[in-house]
Amino acid sequence: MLVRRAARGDDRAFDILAERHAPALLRLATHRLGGDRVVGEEVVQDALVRLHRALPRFRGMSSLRTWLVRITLNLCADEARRRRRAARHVAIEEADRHGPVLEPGESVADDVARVRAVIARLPDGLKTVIELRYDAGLSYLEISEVVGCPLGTVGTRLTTALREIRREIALENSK
Amino acid sequence: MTPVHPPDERLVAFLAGELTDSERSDLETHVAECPACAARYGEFEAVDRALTGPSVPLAAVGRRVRFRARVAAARSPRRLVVAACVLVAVGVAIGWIGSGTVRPANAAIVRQGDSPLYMVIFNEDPRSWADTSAAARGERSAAFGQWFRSVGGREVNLGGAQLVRGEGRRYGPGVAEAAMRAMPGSLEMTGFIVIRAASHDEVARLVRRNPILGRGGQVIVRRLYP
Repeated sequence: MLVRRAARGDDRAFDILAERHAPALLRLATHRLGGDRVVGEEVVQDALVRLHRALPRFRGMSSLRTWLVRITLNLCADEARRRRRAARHVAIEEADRHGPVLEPGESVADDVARVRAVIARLPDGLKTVIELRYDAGLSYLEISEVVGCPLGTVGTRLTTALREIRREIALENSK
Repeated sequence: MTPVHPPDERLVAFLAGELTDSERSDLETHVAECPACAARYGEFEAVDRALTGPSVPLAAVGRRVRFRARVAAARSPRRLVVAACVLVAVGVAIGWIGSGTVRPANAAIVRQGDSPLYMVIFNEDPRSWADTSAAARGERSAAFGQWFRSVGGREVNLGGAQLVRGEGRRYGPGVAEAAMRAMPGSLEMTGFIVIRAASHDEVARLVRRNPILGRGGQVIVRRLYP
């Protein structure tokens, strides 16, 4: 078990754990922070530093992945609050409300930015499920653990979110 | 018999890999034979494909994290006193202390409510110092000193390469080694300062003028606190 080895101070085991989880956490944090990859990397490193400290006490009550995702979401929320308080950098809310400027008439699958822009406008409950599924790569069960909702609700929210994205993109294409 | 069309939730669960083998097989069979469901599936699949981004490599993230975790663990009050002694020694050796803008590190540098603290780390190829004349090294030092004074008016704490070499071991086992391994390529950490600034951007503006960037060195800025 990598976690047990890392908890005993095996650096190689910790490296494997960190490199296994970091890419998904970075995608999650970056999208959560309005596309700011630099701060996203800091958030992921902070989350992994917390893991490093917590490993000796990690009881495995939840999976390591959902534990790390929860920490990352909390750190992103802290960062968003800090930005709002300091009123500096580009406001995440602005990026969320407007998203990138889009050119109409392109196909859905070819334009990730257009889909991301629609996601940014989704209600938080739907947006979170999309991010946990596609950025963090969580299963329905893991998402339900992180969000704290029934398994069926995860499927319904994910479907509603994808339907909404599909509808918005079709609407844009018809303009 | 009227075919039962799978709901959207089932199509999405298929894309998410949430169906059992038999459920997946039933759905595949139906979608293959039903143009309406195939069209619906195609629309969800296009969005799903757009959202499934490529993996983002993060090289050596584990080592960087371990380094940070150990430095943080080493930053206990007792060890801060040791660190302060080391930094004073380094500062005196370099000759910067006394310029009016530099103070040795101390336990009071982190205060609730202050502007954030940033660590500005200088990475250079150590051979680039060994291969130059004494005069050239003097010029380099002067250029660095000039840059250093340009950040004046701030509370600044400084450290040199010795902190992570011989003296670094005082922070705890493995830290010096981890610090050296954490640096990419042939560059090694030759020093750092801790600086208080309003934002990351403000520190970035300062470090862009640092002379080591002009000779292949690297500066890393990390927010320390809060």
